[in-house]
Amino acid sequence: METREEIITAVSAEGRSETRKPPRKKTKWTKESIVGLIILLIPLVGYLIFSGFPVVISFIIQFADMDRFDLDSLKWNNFANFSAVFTDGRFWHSIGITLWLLATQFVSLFIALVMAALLSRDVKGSKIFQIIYFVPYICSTIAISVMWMWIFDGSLQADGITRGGVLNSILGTNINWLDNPDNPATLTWAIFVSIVWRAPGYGIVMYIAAFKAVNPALHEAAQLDGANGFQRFVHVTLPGIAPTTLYLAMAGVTAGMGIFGEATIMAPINWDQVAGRNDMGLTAMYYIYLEGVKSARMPTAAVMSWFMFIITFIPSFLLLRWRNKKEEAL
Amino acid sequence: MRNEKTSSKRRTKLIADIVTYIGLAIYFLILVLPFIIIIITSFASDYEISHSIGFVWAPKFSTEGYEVLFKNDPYAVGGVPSILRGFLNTLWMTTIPTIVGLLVSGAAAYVYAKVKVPGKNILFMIEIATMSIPLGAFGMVSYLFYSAIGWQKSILPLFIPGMFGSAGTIFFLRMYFDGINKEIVEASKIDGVGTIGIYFRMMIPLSIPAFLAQFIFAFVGGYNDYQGPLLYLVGNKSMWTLQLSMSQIVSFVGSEGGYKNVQCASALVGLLPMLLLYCFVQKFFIAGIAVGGGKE
Repeated sequence: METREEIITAVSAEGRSETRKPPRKKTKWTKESIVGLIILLIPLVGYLIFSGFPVVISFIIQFADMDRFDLDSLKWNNFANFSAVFTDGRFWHSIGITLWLLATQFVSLFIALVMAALLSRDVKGSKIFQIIYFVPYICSTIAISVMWMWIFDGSLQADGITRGGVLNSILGTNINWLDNPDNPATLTWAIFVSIVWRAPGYGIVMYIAAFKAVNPALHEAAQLDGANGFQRFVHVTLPGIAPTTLYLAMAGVTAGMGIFGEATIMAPINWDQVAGRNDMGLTAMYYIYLEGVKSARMPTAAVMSWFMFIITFIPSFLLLRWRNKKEEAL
Repeated sequence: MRNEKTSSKRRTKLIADIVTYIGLAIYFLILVLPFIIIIITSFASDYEISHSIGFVWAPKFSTEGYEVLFKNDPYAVGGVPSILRGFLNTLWMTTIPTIVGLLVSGAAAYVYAKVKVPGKNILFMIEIATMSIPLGAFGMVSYLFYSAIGWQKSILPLFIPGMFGSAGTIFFLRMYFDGINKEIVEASKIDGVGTIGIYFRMMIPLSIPAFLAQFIFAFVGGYNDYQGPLLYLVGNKSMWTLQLSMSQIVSFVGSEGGYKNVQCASALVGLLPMLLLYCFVQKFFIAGIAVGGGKE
């Protein structure tokens, strides 16, 4: 899952030190090194085939018309797919929903920071709390969506009265939060809550590790200068864990831009392919799925995918560059 | 004077501890309450749920939800309820590619760490670069690639790519192998053991915890994967994975109106194996991600 991304920041540093090494002596090709080379090539070939080809194909078909999934039927169409996508109100709507739900990642980051700070005080029993706090993170999207669908439910009808739902029971209302004619946005908020409930576990673990790595001498020095606990947290701990925050924010952006499962369960499409009332559950990935796979319009889906890739990748790329520059300046 | 100071310090610490406990307890409740809610509802009857005003905190005990799930499942194939079949499918579909991929990644990590190969640093840079490009956005359009090679209605898109290993695992295991003494490897070489022999006989036994952490991490990802099975397996009922079975049952009973007990029961049944695994090897779950974080 996240292993892939969690190391990106570490990586750039590693790579640089690698290249700075003096050029090594010419190694002779032995049986050992040939076997080694083959072993090294296996993962790269796999990546080339199963990640590279789909990306290349999706790049090409952006510029063409195509019959369903038939690659032989490609026909150049003068950028018609681009104008179709970028004038499609539904696409921009799905981007809006995605950005809205992207905020879950930053809320989760904040919760993770607070909870990790509390856990790091090492009060009795905090180990057990930490173990439990990680549980939602290993639960499946489907199960969690079912859980929150029931909490936000208001769809049961009996004897002419709307019933059901835990939240309704607590508030004494009878609103169907997932299909609410008065305020369709409650659906998006329900998805929002389900994501925030699940996501912080990862950040908590990462932050606790980061807290431990902050140089204790800095804390002592600040204490001698008369800084209280809160001041030390702001001026010593927060700067110390900045790399972790940066990494978590980047991983969060990647995850947030790809939100899909929660939306398909909590806002299932109905007969007219609308994802929840007023499309309020339509994330970008959900729309790409409906366009590309369900409606077999891959060229427009490819345009959307490339758009999503670019707006996901560019911010994290720039952030990394900026951070590396800053580190070099130090 | 001094006494007063220490006692006020002690008081501050006491207050801080109380605030900490309150915070920890509130978050604990937020995380645990939804589980309690679905446990309660899974053991209620549909009639009681849909005919009571408000949430039923103490329903009459009923196993109706689980009976539908295991006895009257509309998606059962050959009498095997889809949630059970889905669980078994998930087990082999996740375990086999994970183990093969782990062995491949481990071998590459071993070569990067210990074997002299001309140009391996360049390959490592490429490997790292692949890791930093988030290709998630292309998950849907990959469908076109797999349908071009005729795999779109099979398990192959979920099965084969993982067997080629992953950059993240290579990176992680390489760090681990770097810490293993080089002399051990050299000694085996003198004894005439080949590259692959050393990997299987020395590196793997010496790195079981690292492999286990990676295995669990990949396994959780595969177990919870929903998008892949949705794309490639939804038309093939006998190949449904656990997550796919759950989602299909949930939307089926949902469209019938109600049956919240069935929905909650299926969520719980789906969660249970993962929660049990977590209880037993919790250490490795956290190790898998904390090592990456510590390295940063």
